[in-house]
Amino acid sequence: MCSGRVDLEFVLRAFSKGMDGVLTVGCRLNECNYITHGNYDAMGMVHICKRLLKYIGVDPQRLKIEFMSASEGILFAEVMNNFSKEIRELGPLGRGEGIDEKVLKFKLEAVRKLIPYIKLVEREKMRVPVKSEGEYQKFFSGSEMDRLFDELILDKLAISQIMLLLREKPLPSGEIAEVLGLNPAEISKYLNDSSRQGLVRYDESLKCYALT
Amino acid sequence: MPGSKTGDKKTVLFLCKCSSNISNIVDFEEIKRWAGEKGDTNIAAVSNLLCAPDGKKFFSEVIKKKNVNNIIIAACSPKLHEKTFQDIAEKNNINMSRVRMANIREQCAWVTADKNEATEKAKSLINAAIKRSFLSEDLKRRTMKAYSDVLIIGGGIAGIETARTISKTGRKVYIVEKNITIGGSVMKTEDLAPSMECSPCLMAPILSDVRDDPNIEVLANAEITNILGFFGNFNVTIKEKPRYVEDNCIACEECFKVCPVSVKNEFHYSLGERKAIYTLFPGAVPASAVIDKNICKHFTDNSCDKCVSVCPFGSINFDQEEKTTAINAGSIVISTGFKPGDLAGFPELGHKSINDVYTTYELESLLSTNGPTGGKLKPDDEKIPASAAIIHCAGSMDSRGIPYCSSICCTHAVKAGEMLGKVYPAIRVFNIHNDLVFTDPEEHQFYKKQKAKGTTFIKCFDLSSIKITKTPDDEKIKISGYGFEPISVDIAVLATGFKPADDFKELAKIMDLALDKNGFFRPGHRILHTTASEQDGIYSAGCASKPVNAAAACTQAQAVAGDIMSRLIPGREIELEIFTSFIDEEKCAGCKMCIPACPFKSIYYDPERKISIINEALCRGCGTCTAACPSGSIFARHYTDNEINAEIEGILHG
Repeated sequence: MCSGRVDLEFVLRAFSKGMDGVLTVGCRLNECNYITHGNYDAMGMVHICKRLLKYIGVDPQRLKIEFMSASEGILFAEVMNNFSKEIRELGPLGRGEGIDEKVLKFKLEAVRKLIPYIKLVEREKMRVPVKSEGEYQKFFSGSEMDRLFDELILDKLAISQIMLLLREKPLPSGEIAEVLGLNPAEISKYLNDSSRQGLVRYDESLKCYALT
Repeated sequence: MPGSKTGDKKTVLFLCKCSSNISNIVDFEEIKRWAGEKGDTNIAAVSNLLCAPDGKKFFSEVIKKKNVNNIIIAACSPKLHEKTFQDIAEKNNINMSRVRMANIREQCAWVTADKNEATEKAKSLINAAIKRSFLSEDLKRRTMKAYSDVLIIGGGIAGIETARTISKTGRKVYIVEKNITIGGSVMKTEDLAPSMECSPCLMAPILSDVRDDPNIEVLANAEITNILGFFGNFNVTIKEKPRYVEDNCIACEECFKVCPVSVKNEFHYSLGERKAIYTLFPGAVPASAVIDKNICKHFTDNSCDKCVSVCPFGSINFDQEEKTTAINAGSIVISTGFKPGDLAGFPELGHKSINDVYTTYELESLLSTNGPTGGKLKPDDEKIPASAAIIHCAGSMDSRGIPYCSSICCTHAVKAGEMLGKVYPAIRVFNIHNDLVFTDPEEHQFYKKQKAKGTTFIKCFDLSSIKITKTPDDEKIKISGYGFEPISVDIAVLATGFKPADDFKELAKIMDLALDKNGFFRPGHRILHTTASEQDGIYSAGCASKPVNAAAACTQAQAVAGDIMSRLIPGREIELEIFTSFIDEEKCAGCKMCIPACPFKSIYYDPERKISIINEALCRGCGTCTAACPSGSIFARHYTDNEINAEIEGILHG
């Protein structure tokens, strides 16, 4: 199995289950056991996941990727010890960030719902042509990535959260904005878009938005 | 043991003390108690040393007597002994995938100081293995028929030696050569250093051998356009360009005399000329001449067919067409040679701007009897050069040219002096160098001999300071540089390095291989498999993975041949990967995201069913596609989401 097998779902599942930190470890870059160089895929996945975590208010430092060879036991121990120290300093997931446990679970759930879409976007739009750590760093922290994330993922994440929220009960737009921590104007736009697509409807009698 | 939670699986947990390696820190009594309490396993069997003959016997007896069908071994790393126990299990009709190891030695006993912590960690690791084992399924060992024929790309000395070695076993060998005949770079020189063995004399019988070998087929003037498949089953598409001369041509050269068009001869570094119909050298294989369509007057303005009228064999055929051939082979050898380093970025060295400044390659070509001038520097100029300067590392170890040391050009540089001395016995030779690199005692001896003969070796600490100048009034070439008095000589020779051949990039793309930072093919392993590539079944010999001399190229060629012959035996099937991935056809939406994710090109799209399909003969089980699949419809055998999740949860809740 290659570190390219590490699914975005695995990482988010761990956080959903309340893990305080996730460390992905792959072979040394450019020293592939196959010819896959899937550790670069894992690195791309981690970069994207860090952005997703940041968006929902989780400290991205809770996720890390390291590369080492199977014979580097001392390095592995060092990395593990340092990582657990860092995570301990960050405190328990959610509490360290000051997010309510329920809200966090809800937000993670909304992100997980979007995984298939994120994978498509990643494969189609977020490929780095040159396989080097520097180039990946440059791309995933660059303005092009900011734009792609804003244009292709943020809206979908917001809508995913709205849908999940409305699944529990119909809500007025003001309340949705409050729960999600977004401004009401943005929420209105998303609700309008979603109602045009037939995903939600406005219930006149309840003065609330509900799922169709 | 208390009531089993294992469903229809009868599970045994073997606990190996590894003498005392594990048991001196992990509490085996506690593990046994804990395992009994959990009730996931039916039996917990403790062994002192499970991999010893007694231990294996014990293992075998337990699984046979107790009729188990799920085995967990808490012992050392699976890298060490998983296969050992899988093999015993298989002998007892238990599928290999039912044997799972929990590494409580390297990952636990050896790295944990506290006894309690070690025991708790061992429990976690064992629990992970147990939980995952409940989800494992029987996996089939699969074999496949394999081709034992070999395809060689590049017919230089490395490719030829590989072919000659393998053909002796009766296998078919194909040599695909880009040039019009085989022979390669060794044919461009007169002598091979350091032994100064006559190179055309060495090559002539070898080339005849290839020509007469019924098992070797040479496809010259040809290039690879596509490669599909994998070790044992490659399918290679080759484009053979038309020669416009039939095979019955014996290269009698009658046509050369009448052909009215001449052009610079690339084979001789553009130093001499050749006709529009030409061969590279006498005794070439294949023997037949070739017409250069770009300059031949029959093709350019239809004004000439003189060669047709003089040819005694009626071999000229202007209607020949390009031919595409598909060849099945079990393995592929890349022996595409090298390209001499160029000096375009080094105007201060005067190459091509000052007369009598040559590269070592050009000098060798000029001084070779096969060469453009029949072995003289200048056929029309009888002036005998009295002195020569040979500059080492020209265009090398410099970001403007080759940034690395090719390691064989120092011997080339020494050889240049030796060759000049043969033709002009009174010549005074200066070698200007910084590092001196010789790769074996004979090469070093060769250098010492040159020195003893009177060659002056001048050390220059900064070769980038070297300037080669000649004003119209100067009779001689002036060479100046840091740390030595300028010298004036009649000729200057630049020892340039070895660059990757031009087609490496294209070949790497076709074969999905990586090039190293210098542009050579990256070897499978820098110590154990220097002639293997990153793709199983594709090998490299000669200058494909680094600059080597002819002797090393031959050694590599024979190493490659040996590896191929030991791994692909006619009539024997090859084992395929067991842990492959497969697609749930019902769930697949046909988004094709997995296709670019697969580095082995094993996934294709079925347009009729509108789904992706994995060719499990090509799949190597890396699982990258499984992670890339948006709909979760790809399953990695032995590493399914459920198995991985079960293992993680087993660790967390051990």
